[in-house]
Amino acid sequence: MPTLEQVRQALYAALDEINADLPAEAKISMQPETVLFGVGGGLDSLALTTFMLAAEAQVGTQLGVDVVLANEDALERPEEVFGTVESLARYVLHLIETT
Amino acid sequence: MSATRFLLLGDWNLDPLARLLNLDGDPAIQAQAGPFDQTVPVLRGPLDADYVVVWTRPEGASSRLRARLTLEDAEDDLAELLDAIRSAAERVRGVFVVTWVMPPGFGTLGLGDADPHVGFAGELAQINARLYAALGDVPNAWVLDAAGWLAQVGPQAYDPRLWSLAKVAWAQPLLRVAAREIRAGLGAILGRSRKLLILDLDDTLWGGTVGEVGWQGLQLGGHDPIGEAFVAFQKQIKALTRAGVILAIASKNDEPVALEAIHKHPEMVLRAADFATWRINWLDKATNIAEMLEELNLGPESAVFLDDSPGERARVREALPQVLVPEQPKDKMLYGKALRDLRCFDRPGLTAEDAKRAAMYRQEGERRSLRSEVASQEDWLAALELCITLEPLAEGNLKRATQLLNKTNQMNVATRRMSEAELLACASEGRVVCVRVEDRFGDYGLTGLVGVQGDMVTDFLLSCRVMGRGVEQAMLALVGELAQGRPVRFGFRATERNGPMLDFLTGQGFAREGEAFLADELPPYPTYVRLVRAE
Repeated sequence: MPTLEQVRQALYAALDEINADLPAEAKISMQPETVLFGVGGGLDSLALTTFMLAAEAQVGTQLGVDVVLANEDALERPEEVFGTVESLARYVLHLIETT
Repeated sequence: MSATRFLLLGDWNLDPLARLLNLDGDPAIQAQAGPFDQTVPVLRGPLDADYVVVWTRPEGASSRLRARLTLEDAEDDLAELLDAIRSAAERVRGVFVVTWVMPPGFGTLGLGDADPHVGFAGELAQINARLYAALGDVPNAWVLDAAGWLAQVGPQAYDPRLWSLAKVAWAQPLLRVAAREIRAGLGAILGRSRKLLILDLDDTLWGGTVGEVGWQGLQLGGHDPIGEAFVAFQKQIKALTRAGVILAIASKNDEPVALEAIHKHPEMVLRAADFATWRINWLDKATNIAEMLEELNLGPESAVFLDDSPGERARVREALPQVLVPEQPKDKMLYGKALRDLRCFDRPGLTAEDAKRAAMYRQEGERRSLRSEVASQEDWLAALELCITLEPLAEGNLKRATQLLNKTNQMNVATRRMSEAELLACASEGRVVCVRVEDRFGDYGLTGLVGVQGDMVTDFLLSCRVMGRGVEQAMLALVGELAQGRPVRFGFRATERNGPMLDFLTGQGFAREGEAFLADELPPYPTYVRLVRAE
């Protein structure tokens, strides 16, 4: 079972990918409390889509587990799941534990 | 320089591509995705953009293809789309159209996918052939090959969930390649491509150090993977010369030893005649390169320098930051790929002048030798036996004239940049005359252009290759002829690069009015020029 910190690192790797396609002033910082989506978040809905797929790929590559972030449950409450790096890391861990 | 405005049209959400194009880059682009799935209506309407990118999915090219009917049923839709693209090309600077492709493994019939009657692959090949044929004679429309992008990216190019979640047809890795290609294409159209490739020799053009192992011991050709890779690399460079890229050598070696290798090695592809100039000595390479740039009358932003030595690369980067000095792969078999990946020699098309450019630069060396042999500038001009041909702008010279207009910086009165269609429109409103130059050493080709509308000289430009040998004076006489002896004003507009034009006009003693120069009287054609008028 991966640790929360390992999940965070996988998410940071996905953010690295996203940041490569963002202008300097819009790059997203690598902190647990960084707001990703919702009020004050660095990702709009289009960027969130790209990030979800990048995060799934990084979790798969780095932690050896398949998770589906673009699922019905997460998409119904995106600000809760994708609100911050920390909330997403905990959600990923929850998915790993329950599947 | 302000950003070039792009409008992206297609039957999918092109916003991610717009975002990538809007990132900092050279040339700068300001891209906007058009309304979703409104390609033909938007192409038919007013277009508020410099360039349009049309990128539809195959099923987006035709509602009938979407319904999985045959190509025959889709004829009308396809013809309408292609006609709308052709029509839009008349109203913008250019149109890029991306070929139709399907994600890897998308077919369902296996062998039957290639069947031209029932298979998707067969249909794709046919509609793409139709696309190339429809745009082949549109000078400012370019087809972008998405199949090549797919080959580069592989399975990462596509994720079906992107369509479900955001109506995005292609994944980010493919869009990154597309953005890079569009920017490279625009750079080529704007004349930003590099013109000069400066090469080190040892372990760059061949394997080994010629001063130590002699030309017989070099790794070049033979039954050796590295040797074969160097031959392939040289062939690739030779092909660049046919596209107008000039070659030069900057090598720390004894010149006779290095030249002996170039002359005698049986597997050398590049010979001395392929290089416009060289500095093969033990002096500082950056100084040598600066000298060669001056000799060839090219700016550092025109040049690329390849050298296997990190120390030499760092030195040239430091001394000449505008020269492109890429890292070289450790594996010599990857030199060719690294050079291709630079994408700095892109051309929007090829002209006869491109193919002859390397020879022209060699001829230039002979002219310089003559200059050192005669006593005065006048004697030199007379000895050159200059012949100038004046020809109206026409279909046959349009491509080259446009290329010249968009590339010339130093001797350019207003630095106007135009598409072929825009230049043609200028010619219909006033007079545009192209100037071909030839002398006893060879043909410079179409190197000058004069545009006059009423009493205004809107364009007066001359390639730096022929500056300073009296052609400018002949062009002044041409302006006088076009103005029928009436006073004219040169619509000078200062840029960072056109100081030579300012000096030339100032030197004529013309009066200033704001930025413009007023010329009451213009000189006759110089006596040292033989004038030919082409119809």
